[in-house]
Amino acid sequence: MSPELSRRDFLKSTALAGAGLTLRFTIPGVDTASAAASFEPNAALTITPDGFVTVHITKAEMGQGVGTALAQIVAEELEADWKDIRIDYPMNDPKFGLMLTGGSWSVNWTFDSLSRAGAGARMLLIEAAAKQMGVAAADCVAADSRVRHLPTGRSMAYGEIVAKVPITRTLSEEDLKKIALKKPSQYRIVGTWIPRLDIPEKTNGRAKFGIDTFLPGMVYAKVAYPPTREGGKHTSVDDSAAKRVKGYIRTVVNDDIVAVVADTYENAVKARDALKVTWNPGSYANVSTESIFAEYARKAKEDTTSPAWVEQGDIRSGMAEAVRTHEATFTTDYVAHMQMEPMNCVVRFENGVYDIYTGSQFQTMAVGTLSKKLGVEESKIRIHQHYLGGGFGRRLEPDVILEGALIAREVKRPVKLIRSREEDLRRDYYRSATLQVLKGGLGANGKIVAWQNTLVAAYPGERYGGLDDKGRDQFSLNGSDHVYDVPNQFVRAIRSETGISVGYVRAVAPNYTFFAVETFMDELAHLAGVDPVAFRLSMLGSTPRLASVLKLAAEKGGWGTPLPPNVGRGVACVTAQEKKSPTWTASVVEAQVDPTTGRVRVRRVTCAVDCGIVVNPDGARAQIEGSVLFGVSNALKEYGTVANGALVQSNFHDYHVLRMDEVPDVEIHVVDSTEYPTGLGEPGTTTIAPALSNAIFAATGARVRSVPLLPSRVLKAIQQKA
Amino acid sequence: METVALEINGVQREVQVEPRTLLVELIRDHLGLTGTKVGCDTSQCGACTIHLDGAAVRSCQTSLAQAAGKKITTIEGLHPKGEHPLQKAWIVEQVPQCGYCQSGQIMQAAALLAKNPNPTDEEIVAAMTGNICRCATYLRIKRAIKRAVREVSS
Repeated sequence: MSPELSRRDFLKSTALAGAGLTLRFTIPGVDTASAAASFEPNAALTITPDGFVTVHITKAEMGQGVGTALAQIVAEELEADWKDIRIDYPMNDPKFGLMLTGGSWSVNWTFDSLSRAGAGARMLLIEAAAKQMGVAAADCVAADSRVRHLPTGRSMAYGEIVAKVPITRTLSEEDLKKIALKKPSQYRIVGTWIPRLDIPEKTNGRAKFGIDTFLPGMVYAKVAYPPTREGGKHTSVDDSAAKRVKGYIRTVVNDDIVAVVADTYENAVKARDALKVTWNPGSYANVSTESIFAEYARKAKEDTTSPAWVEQGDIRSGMAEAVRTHEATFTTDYVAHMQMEPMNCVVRFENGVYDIYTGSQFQTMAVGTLSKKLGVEESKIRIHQHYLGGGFGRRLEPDVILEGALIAREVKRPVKLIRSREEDLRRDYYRSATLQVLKGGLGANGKIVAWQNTLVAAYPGERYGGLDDKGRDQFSLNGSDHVYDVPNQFVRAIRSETGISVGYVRAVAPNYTFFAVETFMDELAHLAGVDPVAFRLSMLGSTPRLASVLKLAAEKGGWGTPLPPNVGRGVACVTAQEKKSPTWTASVVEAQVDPTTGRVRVRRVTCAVDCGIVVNPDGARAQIEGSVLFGVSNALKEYGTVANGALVQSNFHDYHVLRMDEVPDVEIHVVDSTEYPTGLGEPGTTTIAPALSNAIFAATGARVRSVPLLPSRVLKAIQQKA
Repeated sequence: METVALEINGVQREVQVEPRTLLVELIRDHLGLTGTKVGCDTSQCGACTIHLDGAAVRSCQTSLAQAAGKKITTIEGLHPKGEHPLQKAWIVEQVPQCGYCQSGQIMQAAALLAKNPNPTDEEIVAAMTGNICRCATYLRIKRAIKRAVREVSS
C-alpha cells in the first residue's frame, strides 16, 4: 500500500463493511436545458435518456462475476428491469473511493452502499416523475424501470423521466442511511440466477484483457532482471550487441531499471538477451529453501519476544491442567499465483499524463505508488481498466505498471511490456513459506484446555500500509485465531524476512493457518479418542453457524459410512478470510492413497458454505467450485523451492497446477440465509489442505504435516508409521 | 520480410512478415485477432490453441512456415456468429470465470468433437488435460462439452 493510503485508511474502509464505498450523492442543480443529459445520482450508476442504467463497477472482474453481482444489488433497490442494466469498468477516480478488489470483500463491502445507491436513485426518480405528472409522490411506486401513479395508472419510464425532468434534489449520506431497504423476502433480482454479463464475450474471443491493447505507434519493452528476487542491482550495462539487433529502438537504464525497447516483442526479447549486464546480486544470494526453514525453526525455538496474536486465558496454567499434551510442527511451501494472463501493461506518456492500459486489482495503490515514484500528481495517472486474466492477488501489485511507466517516460511512445511466464514466476510475490509449531493440551473432560501456536512467516504488510503497532500483519495471521471454545490460548506471531518477496495469494494466510489448525485439531481428536466431527462440534458452541455447516458437510459427504481400503475421509471447518466477516465453510474430502507410491487421488469434495445472502446463486457455486479446486491444486501439487536467492521453478513443467485429469467430483451446499453477505472467492480454498491431510491419515494412519502433500512426503510418513 | 499468403478464418490474407514468425504473433499482433492468448510460450498451457486444417495446435510453438498451405482457424472464425454448439454450451453452463484460457479450451474441445463426435469421459479428459484453467472451471468445461455433444446428436 502506498504512503498515500495509510493502513489506518485501509482498515477504516475495511471496518466500514457495508458502506465501503464513499457515496457521493450530491446532485448538482440541473436546469431544464440540460435535463436530457444523463442522470448520475451517485458514483455507482448513470441513467441515460435511452432508458439504460449503467452500473459502474469499480471492482476488478477477474472471473468472480463481480460486475453482474454488484449490478444485481443496484438493480434490486432501483427497481430496474434487468434488461435495461449495463455495466462498465471506469477509469480510476477519487470519487470511487478505495479501488481495491481482494479478500473476498467485494459484495461484503458494497452490499449496503450499493443497495442505498439504487434506493436513493429510485426515490429521486419517483419524485421527479410525480412532479412531471402533477401527482403526489406518495401515490407512486417504481417497478420494472417505470414510475407508476397508482390511482390513475399513468406511468413514466426511467429513460423518459431522465430526458424530461430536471432532477435537482440532493440526498445526503444521512438521507441515504434513513432509507428503509427491502427485506430479503422482497428480493426479486438479488438471489436470482442471472447469467453473467461478461460470459458471452468470453466464448467468442471479444473479451479484452490488458494484454489485448494495441495502440498506434506502440513499441515493445523487455526488462533485464537481476538474478535474485530481492536486493539485486545492476553495476554496469553494455548494450552494444543489443543495438545491432534488428528492430532495436533504445536502451533504458536508470537507478530503477534496465530495459530495452524494440519494434516487436520478439525483437525486444532478442535485444534484451543481447545486453551484457553485470549484477550485484545483493545480500540474499545465498538464500535457499533449507536456509529459510532452518531460520524459521531457529526463531520458533528461540524467539520469546515477538508479539502475541492471540492471548486468552492463561496458557501456562492451561497446559499444567492438561492430562495429555501433544506437539507437532507444520510447514508450508511458497505458492505462486500463476494467473493465466502474464503480467503486462501498455503505458503512454504524453503531455505529462500517464495512460495505463491493464487490469488492476488495486488502482488506488498503483496510483499512489506511481505518483510518488514518478513525481507527478495522482490525477496524471489514468488506469484504463480491462478484464483480468486471473488475479488471485497478483494484480494487487503495481510492479509491472511501474516498470512500464518508467520506460514510457523515456521513450515518448506507447510502450507494451509483457512478462514471459518464466519472468512472471520468478518475479512473483509468493504466498509465504511458513512454519507453525502447535501444542495442545487435553483436559480431563476430553476437550482442549490449552492451545499454543508459534507461527513463523514473512509479511507482505509493509507494502500494504505497514504493520500494526505491535509489528503484526493481520493478513499474514488470520485464521490462527480460530473460533473453537478453548479457554487458554496463545499464538505468537514471528516475522521472518527471507529475501523472497511475499504477497497475497488467493485466500492468503488462512491457507497455511487453517492447514495447521485443522490438521492439529484432527490429531487432538484422535488423541482424545473422539470422532473428528463430534470433537469439533463440542467446541463450536459459540459459533452455531459454523457448527451447522460442519454438520451439513458431514451429512452430505457421507461421514462415517464405509469406504474401500486405502480410501479415507477428512474434514475441516473454517471461518475463512477474517473472523470479523466470516464465511462459514466446511469440507469433507475423500481421497485414495497408493501406499506403495504415496500418490494421492482426491475422489470427492463436499463443501458446505454459509455466506449470508447469496446475490447470484450460480455465480456463488462457480466461485466455490473454483476455490475448492484451487485448494486441491495448492494442496496436492504447488510449491516453489528457493536456491541462490530466487525461485528454482520457471514454468508449468516444473510448477505444476491442477489439470482436468486430477479434478475430483465437487458437491456444493449453500445455506439459505438472510444474514448480511460475506464473500465467496476464497473460503473453499482454505478447507482443502487440512481436510485432505486428514483424509490421508484416515486412509493410511500416516500424518503428513507439510503442504503440498507430495507423494514423497506421504510415502515418508507411511514408512515412518510402519 | 516477405509476403506470405494464407487463409485465416475463411479469408485469404497477405501479410508482410518473417517466415519464422510464430503463428500466435501473426494472429494477435499483425492480424489483431486477440481472442487467441499467450500463457506460457512453451505449449504447456493451451491458451494459444488454434486449428490448422481442423486439428488443434499450439500457435505459440508453430511458425508461419509450418502453417503454409493450411487453413488457420481461430476462436473468431470457429463459427460466423459465435454460435458453435460448444460456444452455446459454454454460455448455458456458464463456464468462463476470468475467461483468459477459454478460447483455447473451446478450440481444443472443437477439434476433439470434429474428430470424435461422441467422446467418452476418459476421451474428454485425455483431450483437455493439456489446457490449463487456473480458475479451475474444469467441471463446467466437461459439462459443456457433454451438453454440446447431446445438442448436436439430438
